Amino acid sequence: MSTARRALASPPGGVLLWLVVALELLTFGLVFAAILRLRLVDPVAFRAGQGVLSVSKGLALTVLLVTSGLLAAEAVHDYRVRRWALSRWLFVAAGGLGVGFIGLKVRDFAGLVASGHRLGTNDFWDTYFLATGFHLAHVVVGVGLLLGVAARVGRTTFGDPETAIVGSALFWHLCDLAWFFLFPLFFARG
Amino acid sequence: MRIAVWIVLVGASVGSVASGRLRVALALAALKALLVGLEFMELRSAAWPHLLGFVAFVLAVAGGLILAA
Repeated sequence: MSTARRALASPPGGVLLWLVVALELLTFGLVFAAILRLRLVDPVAFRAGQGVLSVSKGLALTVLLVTSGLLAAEAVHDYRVRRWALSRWLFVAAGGLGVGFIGLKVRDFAGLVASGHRLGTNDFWDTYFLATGFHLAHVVVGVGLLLGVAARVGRTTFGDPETAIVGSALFWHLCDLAWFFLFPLFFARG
Repeated sequence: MRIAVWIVLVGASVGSVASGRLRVALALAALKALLVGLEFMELRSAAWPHLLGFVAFVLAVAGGLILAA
């Protein structure tokens, strides 16, 4: 892989995907601000809600995402050096961990709802379900992209591999970035 | 290098939980975001305006949250 600096018009993953990432990051920035505002204006309700959340589950979700991110980055690297088969399996593994994230999050939601915490309960739960649900929707799209790319690597040619391969991984890393801030905003208690 | 980044990411996540303090956890979140951006999203080799724009955005978001927290 070349270490030369890229031109501004050809960022890693392509211009289109970076426009998407920039818009998503701005949107998530507003979500972070909304969560922090709730923490500050209603600390009692926020702490009560936090007391129900499982920190260990949040940490497990984080580890799943960052490990999947590593595998996606390795898959891109292997694609670039033309190790198609390895790249394909790394994309499959990255997508598989993403499926694990989805499963754990859906279980989390189901457990919360079963214990009476749902949309409409109070501002904390509204914010928790909407913010993490919005993130989960991105994870679902990201898993689809990773597995879609995995199905094609080494089997078909890509018209625009930079957008298809690197762009899919780029979208996946966006899910990492958003979760990095959602995690402390909801789970940090001090 | 990517493996080293992953180790730091996991370590910072554990550290974030261990500290339990929002400001510390947000600072660690910023560190993780920068590492993912530079290494996994390949911004280390991106054009300077792109690289600096990303770093500035992460620092602005994290700094704003930390100051307001």
